[in-house]
Amino acid sequence: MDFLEVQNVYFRYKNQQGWALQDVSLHIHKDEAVGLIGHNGSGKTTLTKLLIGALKVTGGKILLQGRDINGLSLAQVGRQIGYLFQNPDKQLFATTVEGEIRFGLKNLDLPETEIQQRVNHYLTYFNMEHHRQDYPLHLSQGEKQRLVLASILAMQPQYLIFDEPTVGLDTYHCRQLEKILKDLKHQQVGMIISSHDRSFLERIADCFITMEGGRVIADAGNGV
Amino acid sequence: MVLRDIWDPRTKLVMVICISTLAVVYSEPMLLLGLLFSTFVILLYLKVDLKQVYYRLKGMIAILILLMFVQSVFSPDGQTLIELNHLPLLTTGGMMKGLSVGIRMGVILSSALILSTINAYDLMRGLVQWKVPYEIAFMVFISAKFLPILAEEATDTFTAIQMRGVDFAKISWREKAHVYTSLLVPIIFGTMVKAQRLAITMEARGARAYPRRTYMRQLVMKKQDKIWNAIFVGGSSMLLMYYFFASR
Repeated sequence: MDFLEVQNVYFRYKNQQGWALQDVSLHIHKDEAVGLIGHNGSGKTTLTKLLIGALKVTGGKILLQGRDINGLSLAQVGRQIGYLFQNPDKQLFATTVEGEIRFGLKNLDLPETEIQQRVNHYLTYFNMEHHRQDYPLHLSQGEKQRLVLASILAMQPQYLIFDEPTVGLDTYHCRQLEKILKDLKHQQVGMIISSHDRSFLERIADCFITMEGGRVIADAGNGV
Repeated sequence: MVLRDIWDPRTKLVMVICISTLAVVYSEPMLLLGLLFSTFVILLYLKVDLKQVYYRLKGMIAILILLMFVQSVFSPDGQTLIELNHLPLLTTGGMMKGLSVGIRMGVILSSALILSTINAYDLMRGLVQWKVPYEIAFMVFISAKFLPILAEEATDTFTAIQMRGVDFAKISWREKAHVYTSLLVPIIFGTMVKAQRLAITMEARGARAYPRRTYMRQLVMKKQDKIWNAIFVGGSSMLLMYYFFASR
């Protein structure tokens, strides 16, 4: 069974005339790293938001492991899919770096020892132990992004979706992110990475979906 | 020419001020209903999608019912319809008062939609030409421009917090209050960053380098604008005078 299945999806924003997405159909497997590429306004972010159920389809259906995503709450989807917004500032809620990672874990009702273990692991993995008590919004852009990623990964989702993860990062931080994503890929964590940066995607993705004007014009994985 | 642009932005502002003033003064449900109907006619004339009005007013139905009970308990006029241990829970007087407050809110919210048909730049130019200080006019312009962006950011933040396992349908009110506090952190931070960037951009472009500004296009009130302004200001004044003096 496909992890995510998009069936003839149409989407139109409120108070807007044209379709933001038209007749989009996709099959996404669990351990696949998919590169989502397209110009500004091609519908990449809209598609990723539909895949997590943050936007509701106007027509068609999206299935997450065979279940209609419209019947699932965002909290239920969040346990299976981690979503990284283009701007990490939108995803930082706590007053300390440690508290930020704990935030999602506490909602999973895990025992305290398990929470502490995961917090320590991800702080070490992302080299942020020295920032443990720092205020998240005072970190640099690259550090904020790593912190959001740590907070999401600590919840151990089965799949990840990244919306323009390289925007605002310098070459050094892009390389760091690339290394993390390759590590995750080796751990069989599937992902969709939406980006303008084709060369970045080529180093990570197994296949590509190209979008233009709200339509999928090429899907290397499904032979469109 | 698009129909919604046939009126000067200042004419539309005058309309909103007149309608809102009447809505605040009137307290009888029938008068307020008349005012609501007139506002709908203007909105239809301006080709505003009435679905927007429906979405705005939909959430008020629960408030309206609550208001009827609150008014019945605290000012129990008229015939008692529902009572509990001799305490009137719903009275005809309370119902009418609750209805009035609900319709009043409906009129104010609907009339505000007239402003949505004004281009933000035109609104600012119109206010400046009315001798409103540029700083205040610019603040109005910025709020009109930035509110949709802030709303979108708040939605994203709300999505992000739910994706971290917060299920709003299942948590208690106390937990909800705590989560809403957490939501404020990124929203306020984002707003402050945007305001700071805007201030720097404006200064870099020479904003307020000189006390006076020039505008490429000046708004000119046409004859029909003047007629409509006269109708609205004169009509509202007469309705108010009739309401205060003749009808009492």
